[in-house]
Amino acid sequence: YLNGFHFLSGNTSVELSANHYCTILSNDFLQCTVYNTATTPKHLVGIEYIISPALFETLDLQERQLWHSHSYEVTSGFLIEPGMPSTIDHTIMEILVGTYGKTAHTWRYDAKDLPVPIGVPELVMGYTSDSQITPEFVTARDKLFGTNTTAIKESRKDICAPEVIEGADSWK
Amino acid sequence: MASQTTHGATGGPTTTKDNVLETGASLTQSFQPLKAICAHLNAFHVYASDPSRSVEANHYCTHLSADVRQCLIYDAPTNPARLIGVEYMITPRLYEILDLEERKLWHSHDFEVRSGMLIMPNSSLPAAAWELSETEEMKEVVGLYGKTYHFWQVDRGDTLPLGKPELMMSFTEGSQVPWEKVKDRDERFDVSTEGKMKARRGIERVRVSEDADGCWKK
Repeated sequence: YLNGFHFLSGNTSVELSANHYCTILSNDFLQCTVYNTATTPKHLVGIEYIISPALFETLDLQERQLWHSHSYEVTSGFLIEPGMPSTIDHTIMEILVGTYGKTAHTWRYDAKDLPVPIGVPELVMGYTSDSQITPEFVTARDKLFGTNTTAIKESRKDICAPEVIEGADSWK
Repeated sequence: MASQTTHGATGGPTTTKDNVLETGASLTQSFQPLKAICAHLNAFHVYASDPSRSVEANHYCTHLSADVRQCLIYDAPTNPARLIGVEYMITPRLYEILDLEERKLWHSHDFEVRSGMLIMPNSSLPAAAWELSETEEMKEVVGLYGKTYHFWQVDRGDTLPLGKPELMMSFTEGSQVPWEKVKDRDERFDVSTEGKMKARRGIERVRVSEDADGCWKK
């Protein structure tokens, strides 16, 4: 169970805090169901698939455009695992830092306050640098989960962020 | 077609480390939205872009309200199984307030229910007893409209979820259905689609909006 931030491909100002519930299907592949933390009961907003760098490299360039890197999300502390003991969390983050995600929201951001998920799925990306997210959004998330993103970032200083493979984060 | 039966994913076998991490998570974290899942439905979806292609879909659904359900779709009712899509289901009351362009994305359940094709698998209870509950539930489902997207085209042998999301629809009459696939499904779940059709004879046909089920109307 992870919480991270998504924004819509091409529009970094549209921010969403998303809960991911993931299953390990193989050593190189996770599949996650994504829920909107701001709704009650929690709306199922989409799906994310997470793959290893080795699997990402098997994709052609056109397919890679649909995927985003997790390197920055991990090292910045944006990606957290609510309730997870910190030692296990650290080990998981060492793995996730090099992975790539493909995320689609079936319940679009612009329909989040509606009773019905209208529209077609939107492709979603992850953050890749400090300047893309508003600090208030992070503070609000920390308040909700009782976390301290700054402290988490500190604790991950030893995690090596691998270079992002060509083709990912195509929105930039 | 072989990959439709593997239900796992490309990549190395899960390691001891993976297993420890999963156990650690399941002991210390809360998986609340997943605990709200209250129903398992099995049916077939067709690709709106190519209705000659169909896929078996195992839905695990939750009620968000009396009018809205949300379902996770897996390619098999097993563990592991591949998460291939999402379906939302709404009552006619909500469908009627959608505009025309939105309505076209949704499909009906009238045929799926009354033909017996849509089932709720259950291997723990005696079949006859379960079928009574299932038929009751079908009276609710028959009038719902569904909106489904798939992300993983397992029917064409993809070992990874490639490409863009695909809009999916349902069968609306007998001539569209690949009955040998239904027969195969019946055998695996030890059910009879024909038997369920008979059990559901009391369920009245619902009036389906002409704006739904667009893939059959081109």
